Amino acid sequence: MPYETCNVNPYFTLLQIKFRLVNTIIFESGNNLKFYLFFPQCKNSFFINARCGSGGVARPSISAFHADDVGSNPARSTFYYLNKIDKEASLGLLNNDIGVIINLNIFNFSIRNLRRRKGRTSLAIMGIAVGVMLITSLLLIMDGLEGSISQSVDVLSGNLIVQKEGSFDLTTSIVNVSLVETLRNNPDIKAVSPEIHLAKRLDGGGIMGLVVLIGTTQSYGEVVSASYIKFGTAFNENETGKALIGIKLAEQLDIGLGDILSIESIKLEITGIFETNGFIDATTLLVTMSDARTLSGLPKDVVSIIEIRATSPDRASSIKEYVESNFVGYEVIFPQELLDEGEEIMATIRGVILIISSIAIIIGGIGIVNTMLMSVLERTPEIGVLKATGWSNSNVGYSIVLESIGIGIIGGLIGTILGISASLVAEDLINLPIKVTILPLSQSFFLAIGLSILSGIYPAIRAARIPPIAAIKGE
Amino acid sequence: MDIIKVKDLTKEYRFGETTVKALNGVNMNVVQKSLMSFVGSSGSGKTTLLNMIGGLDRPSSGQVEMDGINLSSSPENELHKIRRSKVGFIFQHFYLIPTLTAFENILVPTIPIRGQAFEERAKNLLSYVSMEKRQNHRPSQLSGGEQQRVAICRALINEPEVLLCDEITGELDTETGEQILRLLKKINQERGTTILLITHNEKIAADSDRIITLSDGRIVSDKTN
Repeated sequence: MPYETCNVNPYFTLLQIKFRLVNTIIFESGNNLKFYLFFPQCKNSFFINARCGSGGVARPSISAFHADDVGSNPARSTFYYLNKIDKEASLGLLNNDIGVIINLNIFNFSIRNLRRRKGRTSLAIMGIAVGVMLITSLLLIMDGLEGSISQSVDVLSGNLIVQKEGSFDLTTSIVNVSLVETLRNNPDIKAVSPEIHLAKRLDGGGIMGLVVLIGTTQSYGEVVSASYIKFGTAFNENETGKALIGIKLAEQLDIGLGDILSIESIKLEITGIFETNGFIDATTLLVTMSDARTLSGLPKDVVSIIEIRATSPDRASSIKEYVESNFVGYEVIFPQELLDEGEEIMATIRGVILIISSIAIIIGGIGIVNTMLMSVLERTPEIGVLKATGWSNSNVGYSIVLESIGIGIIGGLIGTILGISASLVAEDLINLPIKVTILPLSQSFFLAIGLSILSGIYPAIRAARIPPIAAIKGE
Repeated sequence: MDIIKVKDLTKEYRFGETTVKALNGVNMNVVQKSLMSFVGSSGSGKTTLLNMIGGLDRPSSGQVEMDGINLSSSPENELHKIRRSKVGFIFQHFYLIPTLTAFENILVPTIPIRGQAFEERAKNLLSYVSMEKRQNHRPSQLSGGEQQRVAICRALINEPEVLLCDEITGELDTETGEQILRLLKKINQERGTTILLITHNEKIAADSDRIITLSDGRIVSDKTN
């Protein structure tokens, strides 16, 4: 057969391989051109069908291996070129060729049916996508939050906290400072850090201005890490008006060394930036005891808590027993206990979030049911003809479920991408480290697929059960 | 040799208390490779009879036998196989799938079974009905006559022994209708397909091997040309 050979540049797009003509060709407006693809490594050439929108001199971009456009050996050609794009491929251009070999099966028949009512299909897809986006982003944020809490606990690994018995949190606890010296004499204890914990709003900080202040002494470094100050220097504990800021909080507030922060009556100069890889990096200012007392109003003989580093982790229980049996009204908590409590709370929040998100995705599922039922209703005579031409009830039902799955897959993919984007936006907004992992993504994606299958079942049964003659009459 | 045997066929529809007999004791045989026309006024039972013969509907009593198989007692999962292998339907409305090309529409009955042979057959059928240049056009790009020719190809793709045509020229102008009927005659003569045709057109009926006239669900006349 006569044809002109053109060179092509193959390239990938999201869903398909495209071939762009290097040569300029001339063709008539709206003409259906047939292109043969020649690949040196293959015995056979494959042809693809391309419709060029406008006539004239052009270098059209040709989509290949679409459901419509499959070569003479569809399975082989598709897989071959998905695996490898042959840069030496060339194109034979032919007009009015006879014979299209297609790859029409129930799957692509169903998927192409989705194109009939693009608006309605898009709405159903968006319904699922919104639900998947919600679940994906919330799961990623929850994972990030849990990871951050866990990291904070890791920083405190081996540390114990002495607080007033039954305190709601570290800011409400009051511990007598005389306990510090007693604890320092205990041979199981390596370091002791008295601390005042309080939460304050930065002047002019607005809604994002709430920070945790920890009044510390120089011994704080002994219980956390000797190298926790990344930039600048620690303050002298006798000074006032000095502060160390967590590295992520500094980034969030755009604060550097030497900057001044104002909290109520006190101005704080940033002398250093610390990093513990824990949650406090994003929330906390370390200040001198003197400033912490001024802001908290606590007298000199008390602090909020005493943080203890044991000589080894296995001494934690004996320290706890020593404190709680010798000093009435105090309790010793392990960071792990905090983590456990935190995890319990997070599990509850996660459950609530999943329920709310599931409602969203179920609404999306109802959208699919509606779309598919409308589709079945509109296509009732056509379904009758399918049955008249030999399609079984299960063939018809399967086709409807496949359409529904198609909506689920597209909606799931879009929702997953949107969910990742939303969680990354949240990462910037709330300064929470987000790790995109496969588990939450696959959970939400497969939830969408599962729901789309369920949503397709009822319309499929309806379609399958219509007697052929009633269907043809459109009843 | 008779390919279709209809015996005491009755079909009743109930509308509340009222029972309407669409078919009332129809008996007839159809000889293989014949071209037969059904005529009669609207509501005389022509379409009901054709649907029973094609296994699309079930009788209230009596039986339809096609190629030795009793359709009346066959379960639905057998009936669809019979429809696929032995019968081709052509309707007044073409019912082509709008998202598929003419070529793909012809292949629709074969989708659940697939096979390269069907594609070759579809190509030959397109040539047979002089539609090879329109194979990549979607139904919206085809005229009524062309769409009906695609529907005929779709009915023939499984090489059925019997073609059942229900007022297939109803949506076509006279000239196009005659072209379609000439095509059917060609199919009957060249391919040996038995054709049962419902028509209101006496000229068309007169051109067939046998004319059966129905009235009130009964055969009132059976003429052989």
